[in-house]
Amino acid sequence: MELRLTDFASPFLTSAARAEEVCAEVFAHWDAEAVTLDFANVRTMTPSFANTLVMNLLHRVSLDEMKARVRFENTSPHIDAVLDRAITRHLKLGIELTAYIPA
Amino acid sequence: MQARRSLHVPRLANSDFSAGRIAWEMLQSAATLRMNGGVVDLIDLSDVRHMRPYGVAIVAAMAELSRLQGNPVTYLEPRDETIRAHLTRLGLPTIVGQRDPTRVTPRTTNLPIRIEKTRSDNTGSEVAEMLVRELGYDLPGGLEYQIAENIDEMVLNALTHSESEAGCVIVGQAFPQKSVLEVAILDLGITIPTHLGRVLPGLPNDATAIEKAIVDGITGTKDRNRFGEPNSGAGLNNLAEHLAARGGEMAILSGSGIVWMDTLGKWGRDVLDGPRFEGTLVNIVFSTQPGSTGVGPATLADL
Repeated sequence: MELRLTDFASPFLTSAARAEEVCAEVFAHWDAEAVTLDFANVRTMTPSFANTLVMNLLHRVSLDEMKARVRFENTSPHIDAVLDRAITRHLKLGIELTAYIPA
Repeated sequence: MQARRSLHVPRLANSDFSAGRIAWEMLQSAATLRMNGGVVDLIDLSDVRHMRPYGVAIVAAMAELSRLQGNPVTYLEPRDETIRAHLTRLGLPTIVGQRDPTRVTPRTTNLPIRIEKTRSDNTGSEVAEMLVRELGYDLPGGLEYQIAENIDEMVLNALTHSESEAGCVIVGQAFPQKSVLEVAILDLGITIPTHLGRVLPGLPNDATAIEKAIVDGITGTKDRNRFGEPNSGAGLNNLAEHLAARGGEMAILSGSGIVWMDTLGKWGRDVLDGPRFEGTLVNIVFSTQPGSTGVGPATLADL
């Protein structure tokens, strides 16, 4: 299963809502097969988008499981850095999306 | 006869925002006007000889607020020809409702003042692209995208957290000789201290609230923002890290607090006397110096 990020938004990934849509698609295909997230033609990705994408995934599965089941392809070094930062924020700094913080 | 509600911009305004010598008179004039009904009917720039982007943003935001309230504004243009032409190229006379703006030769490299009311995916990239064009040379790999992302995050903050009636004003300017891009992002909303106070009540003052908002993972959003999106409190922290790593600088003014970081990564803060500024101004100076590494994000630990 391959999901092209630019099909969810423009080449500029800024909206956390779009990131949630990507996650929903990933989990919709979770049991069937590995999912490839294709970042071809993506130019920018804000921390809001990256954090929502990564933290939504890591809220439900481990990093190892995420790496085994979700492939990030055609990422530029810049996009890799933004994704890595989001993983660090969650796993090392314990930062969580507000939607998962109890009221 | 009722006195005119005048936003007078002093001649020497905007000399050096980032070092904390802010144009107090102008901001406090805006603050006072807002306390007295929130409108301005005279914008007097006649003495102005130089305006940094944040000064233009304040004028544009106040004019927009008055327009929304159906209040016509009289605009006194700068007498100085150079700054008058510059402001005309930015589109300020149109925003303040001047019927017959001074004619100037348009340039394709000036970023017109933007007033954003809704989310857009490509605001940051459009602003960054235009400013880089004004700069006149290409940036090293990925830097233009990083600048765009940081602008997008600040605009998102202004639109989602501030509840600003006037929306979010963006003004930018490239300074090729200094190798910097300066961008001011302004809203006239509920301020960072008010927003953050929803989850962190009892902070001692507005400068402390701004400092808290820069810490990674701190946000005033509960559950989801007004666009239904979750938040992770990363925007200001990400911006500060980027600037510290590249030798940029920033200043944030919100309510009565101002917090700034200089090009050496040194932080400063102040709590203002006088009327509280009901809004948030984020002034950013992006360094575009090739190979500029700055002092790195370690200085954030000072906060």
